[in-house]
Amino acid sequence: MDNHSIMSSDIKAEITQLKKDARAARIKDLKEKWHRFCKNRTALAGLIAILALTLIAILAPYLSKYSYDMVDPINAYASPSREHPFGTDAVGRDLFSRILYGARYSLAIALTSQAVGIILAIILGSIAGFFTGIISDLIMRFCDIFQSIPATLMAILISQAMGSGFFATTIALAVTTVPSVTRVARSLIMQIRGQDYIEAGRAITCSETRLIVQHIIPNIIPQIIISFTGGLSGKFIESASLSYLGLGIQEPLPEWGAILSSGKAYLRYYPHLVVAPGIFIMLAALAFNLVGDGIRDALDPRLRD
Amino acid sequence: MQRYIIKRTLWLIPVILGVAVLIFTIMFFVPGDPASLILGNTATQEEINTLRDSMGLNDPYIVQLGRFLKETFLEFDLGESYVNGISVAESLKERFPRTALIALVSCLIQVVVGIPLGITAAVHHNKWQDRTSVVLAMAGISVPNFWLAQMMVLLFSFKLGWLPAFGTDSWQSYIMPCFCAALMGIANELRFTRTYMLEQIRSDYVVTARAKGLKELLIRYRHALPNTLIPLVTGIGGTFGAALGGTVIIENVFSIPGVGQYMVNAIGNRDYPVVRGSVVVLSIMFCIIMLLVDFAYALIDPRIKAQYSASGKSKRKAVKQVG
Repeated sequence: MDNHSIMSSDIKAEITQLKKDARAARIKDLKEKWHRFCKNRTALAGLIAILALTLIAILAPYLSKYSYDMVDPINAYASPSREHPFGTDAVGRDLFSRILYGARYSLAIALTSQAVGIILAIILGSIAGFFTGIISDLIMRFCDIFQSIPATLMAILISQAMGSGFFATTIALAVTTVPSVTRVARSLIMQIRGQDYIEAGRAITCSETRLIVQHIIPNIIPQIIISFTGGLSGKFIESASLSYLGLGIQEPLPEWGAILSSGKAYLRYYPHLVVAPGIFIMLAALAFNLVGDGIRDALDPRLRD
Repeated sequence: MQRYIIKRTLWLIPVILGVAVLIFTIMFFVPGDPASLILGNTATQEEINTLRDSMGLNDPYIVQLGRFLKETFLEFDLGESYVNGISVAESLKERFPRTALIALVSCLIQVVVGIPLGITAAVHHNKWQDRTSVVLAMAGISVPNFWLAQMMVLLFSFKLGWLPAFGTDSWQSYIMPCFCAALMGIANELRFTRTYMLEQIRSDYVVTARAKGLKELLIRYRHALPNTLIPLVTGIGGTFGAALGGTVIIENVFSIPGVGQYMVNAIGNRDYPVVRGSVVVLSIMFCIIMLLVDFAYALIDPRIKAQYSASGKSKRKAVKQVG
């Protein structure tokens, strides 16, 4: 009896030591990845740009002199000046203030839609990858059908079915992410499912849910992060495209695509209404692309070129 | 090979049916009532109800879906526009060639420009050719196509007067739309090609070929390139889908009377038959291109050919294990 308890306390100590080692290794690995990311100067520049953008979005009311919807018809179509750094639009709203406030909508839509899409995709991909059979087939065939409609058309249809606006645009863009990421998640999970440590987990009677949540999902997270950041700039541009067509965020809300859309009729005589918001969309997309590439290279050095 | 082609072609039928059902279902939930839009503000509830009845809008979902599928696939009738009563199929017949032209040409530009640039970049890895290509590609995937289109209109139409800003009067009208629809795709194609080609150039068989003393040109174009092309060919389907989506947006920038413009205008009017018809036609076109891409893939990838030309299950199994 005594002997037995001594042994079990030994084993316990060993297990805590192993856990500690594993945690230390994980922290070291994370530090290494962060170091790799920081060595990539363009990615770092992108990250700084995104942080700046986030600050702009948060501090918009303090940075801008005017409200985004303050109409001032006497000063309509003003060219850029000290008073109005980017000029004013057709009803005299200050374009600079609108763009600063617009960062909120543009960022929120891109991040939320991508997050919602990825989470849905992980859930569907896990089901399809872990449980083969009818459900898995059904999910994959559904992905086939979804992917047979070009993504832009899909986004247009869904944003309309949901009645356009912030929520509709977010859901529409989220849905277009789902099929391709579901495929990625499924194939990753199928790869991991066949590995020995999953077999070992089963042998010590781990439940399937525990296997998925504790052992499989953590192992696909790097790939999922790569999908997430890699798709963000696309979401930015897609949301701006929808608003540009008049199907996304609606006036007077200042999403960048919507600002551009309301200026497009005056392109010939007041080009500043189109140039300024476009530059912001482009810079934001560029920043997200740089960071996406940087994260991909840091997390998965095999892909680095 | 024949078996593969037949199997893949038959698979098209359920996919297209599924696409039609999906589109119908999404459109079913679009808020807003076409009947009251047609009749205007002065109509009474009774008048609206009568019109809804005659349009079949009061029928349950499943009845409407059945009617839509029957009319679309058995009678090839896409209905009439709620707004002006013109047959959707007729309008699409007139508009489709313009959309197809822009989408196909821009897809072609993507492949013809993007792949060689990607190969050049990979072959001159970390030299100036590579760095320039990478920077250009990065810019290319970050520029929204509709904004680029407007900037080009500003420069080439309004300032320089070289190209028409809208319409389809001459072949020059297609230059800017095709380029704008293609740019992001060129950049993507370049990035993919570069990555795949680099992967091949660094692989063991290339090292072996070099060790054998093969000429560098031979290694690149006889050994590395064909292996690079296989994943690229699969990617062309997606490239085309992106080009099609880009075309829908670009048509609206340049006021080109194609399917995309037709559809976006119809959405504002709650003109269901037009929206449904347009999306169904574009999706069918997309599915057919994907089908052709899969055939091309099967043709160039010897593994698929082997898998299907071998008769009997045992042989196929053997090939699978090898592949």
